[in-house]
Amino acid sequence: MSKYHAQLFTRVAASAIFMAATGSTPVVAHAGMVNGAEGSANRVRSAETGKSLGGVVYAPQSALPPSDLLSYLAGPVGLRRLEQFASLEAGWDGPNSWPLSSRSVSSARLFFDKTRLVVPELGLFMSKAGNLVVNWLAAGSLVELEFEGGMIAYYFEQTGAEGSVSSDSEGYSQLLDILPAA
Amino acid sequence: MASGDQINAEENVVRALVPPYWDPELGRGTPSAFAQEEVSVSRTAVTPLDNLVGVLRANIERPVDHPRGELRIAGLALVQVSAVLDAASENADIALTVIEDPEPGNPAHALIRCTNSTTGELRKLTRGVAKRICDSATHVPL
Repeated sequence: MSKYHAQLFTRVAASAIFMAATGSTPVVAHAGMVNGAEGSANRVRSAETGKSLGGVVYAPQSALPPSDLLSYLAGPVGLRRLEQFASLEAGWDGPNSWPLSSRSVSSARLFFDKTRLVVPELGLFMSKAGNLVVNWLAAGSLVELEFEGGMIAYYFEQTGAEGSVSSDSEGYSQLLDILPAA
Repeated sequence: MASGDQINAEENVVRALVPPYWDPELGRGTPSAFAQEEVSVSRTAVTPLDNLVGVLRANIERPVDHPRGELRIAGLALVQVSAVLDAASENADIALTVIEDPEPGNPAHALIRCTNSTTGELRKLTRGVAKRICDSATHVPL
């Protein structure tokens, strides 16, 4: 990673988990990596500790694990699913279905660690090609990402947008710019 | 009727949803289950749904100690063929067909085939169209 990218990635926007007032379950969340600018205002939330607004509490980015945010968001159930995917060999869904790609999983982990994106009820899936697929609901509409190694394929039900970006800082920024708000 | 023949639009087909495509805890799946060039489905007109469950389990499921990994069917997606065809009606680049493809272990087996409407070549179904198919389907828990 270049020095430029290292600096880019450390510039994390003010970000937050909305915590349910009663407990620790993240119910709505969004945090944006900042690419030079201060991120899109509609995505980035306040990082003020304990700020209460409308029955939800904003938690600071510091409340999140410093690494492997994907595992944190997936939770124990998601991690068990991931283990199950990893046990499947070629042919699990007939011809041309492939085992889970470790490169795809690494790409997903890197994406969440670098962007610090926090989403509610992250679902983990696997495509026939063996790529890790994640999805969540943003304002009731599906947002889905497939980590294809060097690329990230995206689909936003809300707008019908579908395409792919490179799995690097430039691609992350492009994706965060168009990602529907939770 | 023979392999490759198109299936009547009034028929229903089911897609077996394995864990990579369906999360029972979240009650949510991924359009990836249908975002493929060819998608395996089974016809309830050939084998009634109750019997199909056994057929699909015999063909797909593997026990926990299986060398190729455990696999259980987490549910079924039941959808009418007409809804599958309608899902791509607004996408001029895509042609969808649902065709017979009987197999020795599953005479009801069929394929949802996605082709480029201009060249006729197989192509991967878009997630948007796949999502519309998912939305038209009824989830049958097992």
